[in-house]
Amino acid sequence: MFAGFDIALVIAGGLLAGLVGSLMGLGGGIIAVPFLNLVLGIPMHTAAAAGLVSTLCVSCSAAGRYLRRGGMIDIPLALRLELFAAAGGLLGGFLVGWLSGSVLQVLFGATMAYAAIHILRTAHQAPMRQDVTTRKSSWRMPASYLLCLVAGVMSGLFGIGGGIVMVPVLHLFLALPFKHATATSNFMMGLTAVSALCGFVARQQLDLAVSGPLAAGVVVGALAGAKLMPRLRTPLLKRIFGIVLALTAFEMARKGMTSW
Amino acid sequence: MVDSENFARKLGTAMLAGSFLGAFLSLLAVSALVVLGADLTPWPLGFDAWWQGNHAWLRFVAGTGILLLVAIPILMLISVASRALRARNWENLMVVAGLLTILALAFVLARFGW
Repeated sequence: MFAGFDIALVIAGGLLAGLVGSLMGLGGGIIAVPFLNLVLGIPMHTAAAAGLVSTLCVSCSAAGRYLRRGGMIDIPLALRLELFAAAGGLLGGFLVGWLSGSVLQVLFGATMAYAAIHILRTAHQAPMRQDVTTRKSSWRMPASYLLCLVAGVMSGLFGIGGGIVMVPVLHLFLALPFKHATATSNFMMGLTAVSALCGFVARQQLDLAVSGPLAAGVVVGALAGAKLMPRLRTPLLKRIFGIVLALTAFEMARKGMTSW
Repeated sequence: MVDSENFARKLGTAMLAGSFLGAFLSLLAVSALVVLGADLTPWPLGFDAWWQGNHAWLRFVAGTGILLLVAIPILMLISVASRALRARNWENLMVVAGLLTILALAFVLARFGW
């Protein structure tokens, strides 16, 4: 039976995911899914479905804030790229039904390791600025479409937002300023999560007792993260978070391999 | 597509309010069910009567909160599509129609089988 203590733990996990996710520019799923699976022992597929709900919350609240601020989200570009990300999300959301929990844990561990390396590498880098005319280069748009498809599949498989792929695509390939790339990626994540969630709903893996409290925790955590952001030393935080993520990736992969 | 700042601000406010409403509606209902001692495992959201069981109203509210979260991006797409239609921006309208088609396909596959 799901007790009050479990609900409190899920809310705490959501707060952590929302807080760290908004500080690091991630959807929150990459923190929420391992928390639910490793700490609370919730099956991997159920954790991934709840991760998608948390991504949906972060996307709606963050994109809502950016839209209100104005000029941060390139909506026409986001919707074009989202055609591919949503298709990828649909594919991933259904493909995950064929993967066992342990295979999913190993693959998720690998994705987390990639995210940890990405965060540690960019901890001290200033966001790049590129000439906006590079956006019109012939190969950049098709490559971006392909990478968004990959991000969508990852989102559907693991219950993450896919920001670790989408933000670099928008910033480095399509020359959006870093903050605009993060805002546009946040806007896109919600649509990808909706298309991916359908597969989980079909297999009855979206648990309401987990998703509701997690969603509320994530919304409050993301809001707190946005308020705290200007007062914190982000490079140090990124290094600490990168190391924690790498250790969690190792534990996730180890657990998956032992139960293979 | 969204040339008016006013439209973007309204859209942003609706998305922000919707995410808070959906998440907290669901949390309150789940918390109430726990306080009332309802058995919540397993409790999947599906296409059949997921609200059935003891305290059906609270179960219905919890599920509706999550469904509201799912509905926000879809409603956002519809509002962007209607704006593109009024502006006779056919290219952007086609993109939004494509996205809505993918989401509809996902729903149909989930409902009637993969």
